[in-house]
Amino acid sequence: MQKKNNFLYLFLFLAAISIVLIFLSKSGKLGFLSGSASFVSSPVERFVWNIFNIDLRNSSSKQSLTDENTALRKKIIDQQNLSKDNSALKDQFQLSYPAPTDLLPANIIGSPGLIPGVSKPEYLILDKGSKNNVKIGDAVVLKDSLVGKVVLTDWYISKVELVSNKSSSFTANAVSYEDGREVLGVVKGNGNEEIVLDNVLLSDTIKIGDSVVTKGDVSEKNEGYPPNLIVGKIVSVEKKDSDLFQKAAVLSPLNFASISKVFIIVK
Amino acid sequence: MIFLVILFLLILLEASVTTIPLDFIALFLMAVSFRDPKVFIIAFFAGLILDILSMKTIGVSSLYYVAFLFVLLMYNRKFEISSTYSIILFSFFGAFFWEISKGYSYPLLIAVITSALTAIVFKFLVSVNFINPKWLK
Repeated sequence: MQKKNNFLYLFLFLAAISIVLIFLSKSGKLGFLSGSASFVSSPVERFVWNIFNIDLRNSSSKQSLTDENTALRKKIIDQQNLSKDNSALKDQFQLSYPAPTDLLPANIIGSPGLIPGVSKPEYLILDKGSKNNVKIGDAVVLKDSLVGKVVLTDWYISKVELVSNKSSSFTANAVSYEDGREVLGVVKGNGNEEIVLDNVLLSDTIKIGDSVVTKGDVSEKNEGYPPNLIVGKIVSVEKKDSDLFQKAAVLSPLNFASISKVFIIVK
Repeated sequence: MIFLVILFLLILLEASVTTIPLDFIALFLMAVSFRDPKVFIIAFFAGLILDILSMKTIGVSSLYYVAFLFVLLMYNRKFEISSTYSIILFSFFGAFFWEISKGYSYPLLIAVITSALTAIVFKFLVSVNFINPKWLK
């Protein structure tokens, strides 16, 4: 009975502290704690992410390497990573849009998904934060394709909600480069790999293969998506005469599970 | 001590690469094995670290862990919580509601994986005498 009471008192005490912490955290009064913790945790998380986020599509070739050249392989991997980083930076900065001056390169240090490197991550954690001028609402891109937007920032890390996330929703245009059609709709994530272009008027025409780009919804605080970022390509259309709107499934050109570097549009 | 090191590594993994609640599994097994109030304190701090690393509202994971372990240990009097069936059942529901509360995809699948993983690890730890079967009585 005594032990049971111990459990009860300890539970009530810790639960009360947790609730107080939740309120303090919600009101932003624990920024110092999480900010300084992010300074320490960011490199550790990146190290762990690099170890476990293996691209399984390349695993067979990796397995074929023998133990004798382990040291050499390590050097090759280091060099490849460097070259990949350079190539990503070069590709990105060669584009005229988004303007290179607005872009902040960021490494992914966390992307929890069911199976690392295979399943779509729930969100991304980047190694850049408010000390690097990253703000909530900043768009995150790779080349000219949309990845998502920053929803939380600490001093040295930030959290990105992917475009395919359930709570992601914004206006977009379905554009046909063949006949110049431009149709307005609302892009919504559905939690898995697919993205949906919804709320398209029945009288409008959308076709498989049309590109979906952001319409642009930047607020006066410079938050939100700039126009003409690629969301994806329409892969199927669902149109019923009995419905108010038609909708389409959109496939992003990016494989969110395998990207390791992104760019934040900071202004 | 070794449990704490493993727990910290699992928290790092959960924060950066997977949505399977690995630290939940570790805390669950600690609670079932040791049935000690110290597990509450470990769970509280584990939740805090996880929330900070995964940029969640600080305190939410701690509250969930502490509440879950309390319910689990309260049932200790009525059920044999260290039986395989109880472990599968409790870890399934614990993981399922955890995934739902976090808004992750595939909560049912992850709950099934978690309960299977918990049962396998528990059996393994008992078989290698890492958990003494006498502690469970």
